[in-house]
Amino acid sequence: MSVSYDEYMEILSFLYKEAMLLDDKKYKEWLSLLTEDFEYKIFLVDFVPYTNEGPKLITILDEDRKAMERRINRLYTEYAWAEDPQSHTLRVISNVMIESKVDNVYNVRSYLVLHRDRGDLKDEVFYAKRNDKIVKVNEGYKLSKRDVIIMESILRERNVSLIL
Amino acid sequence: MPNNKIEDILKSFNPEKGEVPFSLFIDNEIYELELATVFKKSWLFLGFENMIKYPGDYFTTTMGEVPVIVTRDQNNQVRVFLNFCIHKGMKLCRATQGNSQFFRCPYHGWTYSNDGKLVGVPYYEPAYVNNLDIEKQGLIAVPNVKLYKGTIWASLAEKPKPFDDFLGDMKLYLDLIFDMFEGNMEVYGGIHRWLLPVNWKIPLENFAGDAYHAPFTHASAVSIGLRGAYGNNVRILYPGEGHGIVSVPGGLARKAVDIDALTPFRDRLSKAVETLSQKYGEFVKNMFPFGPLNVFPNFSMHFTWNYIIFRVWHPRGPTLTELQGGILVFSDMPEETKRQILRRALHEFGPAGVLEQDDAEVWSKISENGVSIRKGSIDPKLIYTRGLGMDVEAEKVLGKGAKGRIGEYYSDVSLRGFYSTLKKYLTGEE
Repeated sequence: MSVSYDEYMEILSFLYKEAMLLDDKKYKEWLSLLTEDFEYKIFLVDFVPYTNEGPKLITILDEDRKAMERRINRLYTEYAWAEDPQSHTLRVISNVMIESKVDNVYNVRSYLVLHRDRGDLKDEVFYAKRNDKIVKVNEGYKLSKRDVIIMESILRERNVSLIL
Repeated sequence: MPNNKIEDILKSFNPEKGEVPFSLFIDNEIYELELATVFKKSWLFLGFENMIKYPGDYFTTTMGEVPVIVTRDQNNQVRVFLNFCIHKGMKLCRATQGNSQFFRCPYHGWTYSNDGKLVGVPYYEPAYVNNLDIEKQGLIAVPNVKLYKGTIWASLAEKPKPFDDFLGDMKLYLDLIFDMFEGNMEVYGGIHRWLLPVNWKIPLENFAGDAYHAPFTHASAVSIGLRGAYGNNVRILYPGEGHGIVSVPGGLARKAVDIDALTPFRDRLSKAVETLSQKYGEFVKNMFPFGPLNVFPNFSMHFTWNYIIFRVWHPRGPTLTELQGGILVFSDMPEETKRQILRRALHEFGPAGVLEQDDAEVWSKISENGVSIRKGSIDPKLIYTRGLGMDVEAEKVLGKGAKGRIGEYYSDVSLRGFYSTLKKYLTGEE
């Protein structure tokens, strides 16, 4: 597999832009970056003896595009208490690596550090690894799959009402 | 001083009149008394037998804050031990689950077989040979363990109330769920652990009897079409002994979206209604699947047409709770059905669920507020008077075979029952 510098920069820009849309709460614009068959999963990591198979993952979310749309629509109702008053978020995306490229599909790994403020003294920072499938289409790039692994065996944030 | 404080709080704690002091959810003195009474004496739910299917399988959990290992030994016997090396007190088993015939302490290497026997002590000869009766030593066993229809329970009390008396009429309702599985109960997708900044009693109210919060806290579920309107067919059932059920008979969730893939699950439930109503009475048809429930003190389930979830609210401090939750499926169902049940359950419940994320916001802000208010030595009485004196025999509403008292959807009948039972423990009557 060979990926050019330009391709890498384009993927990087795509991830930055996507994070920025979420931090700026432009959720509907963010939705337009998803493919129709979009899949989104979030895991915690269980605290178990070492094996060669890697960490044991605990599923805490498994969504398709339709469920994701409902999730976004919810944020525009008057009753999304978990995010109303609105959180202040700041996403740092780093350690971006294109693991493979087959035809127009890129498998991309990245790290996410997400700080959230909810108007109180509780410090909330999510640390997560992400495995994305990003597809090159005519008008640019789209996200078709995202697996998020929150690197915690006991979730210490009050909830996961944000998109990671 | 602290004892006077507890006395004062208990004096203003009159659950039968619907009076519950706010301090009950905030103060450390009350919390420690709960650990020493409720969590010491009561039966506690530990897990499902399916979680330790084979000899050597184990998982770790807590009884109150007391860490325990639950394991199936090489002779297929389920055993519960304190997660504690008798030599120097090290936490013997640090993983949440695994399979091992032995537990070996990382500190000095003392080793126990999974039936609790001490089988290895480094330098036993010559150091301990005359000073330690190795045959008589072993892991400290939790004195009472009960296996019930695929579930594992234990009590730290030497002589707890008999298990059947502890369940009381709740047994009937748990049997409806456990019998339906016919031994095919499986925890699917793992146990998620989630630290909630709230007293353990507050979240379980939603399961034990607070249907009243749903139309407000979960209004968004209607706006986004996840649910139809919240119906007034919901009833609150109090089976006694501190347990509670929110009965959401049939209809509500049936209108829900994304359900095609759940057909095999729903078919199984429909079939179960027939067999279970023949076995237990006509009332089953009027309340199946019956929605959220809580077994005193801290084991909750939610039983719907779409999924069956469970939650254990482990106390971790006066305003801290570790939720351990998961999803139950029929083990003989197709893999795809299991996954669809899981995804549907997690869409609503769990840290990212569109329903429970709002609950968590409410819970966290009750605690934040509560700690501040208690610093001012203010202790308002919270109001649990909904539907006081309006509940009737369950049989009158649900039909033949039902047990317990029942109230309208807004009733606090089961919450008054929960707190009355809690008070008995706190005052030494139970």
